[in-house]
Amino acid sequence: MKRQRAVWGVAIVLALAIGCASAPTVPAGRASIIATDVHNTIAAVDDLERAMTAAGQITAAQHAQLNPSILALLKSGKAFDAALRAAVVAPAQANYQEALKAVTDALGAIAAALPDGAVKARLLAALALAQGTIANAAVPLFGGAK
Amino acid sequence: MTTEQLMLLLQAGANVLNLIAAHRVAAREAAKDNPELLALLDTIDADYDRRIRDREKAG
Repeated sequence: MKRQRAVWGVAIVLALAIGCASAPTVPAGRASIIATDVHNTIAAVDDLERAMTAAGQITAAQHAQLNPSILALLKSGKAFDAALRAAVVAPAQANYQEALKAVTDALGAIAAALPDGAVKARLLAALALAQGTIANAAVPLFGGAK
Repeated sequence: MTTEQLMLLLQAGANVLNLIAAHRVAAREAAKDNPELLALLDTIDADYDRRIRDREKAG
């Protein structure tokens, strides 16, 4: 009897292990909110830098310096969008956690590339807000309720 | 562990795998039934493409 209980215990642990190891699925409703929030945040950083360049607050040289890192941010956002689609359509191929990390890394790279001065202060505030918004939007992806 | 116990263990594992497979199929079906989500993701993807093109031109 004791042995049978042990076997069932092992079976349950095995079941939990397999269940935890499988890629989590993202409910469609949450996926649309997360995709929209992350996209809006990335687009806002892109738009802010463009607007500051157009207004002359960022020089052409500074714009050229920032352009590669913002381009990388946009590409990471596109990759995250694709990963989110995979999480809904084919959970086994979901790798949105790595894709999300790439987005936050790209935001960090922009911060590192900022020129000193008033531009840096303003964009750093925007980047901090972006990091917070993305972290908050992504809570359900990591099993948290929102 | 007896053969019977081993069979029970294997059966339990197989049941779990079947449940996971069914869950994934259900998720795929849910996505198919949710064209709004796929359309939204397409729209977002197109916007990223536009912004990337603009930045690449500027770069």
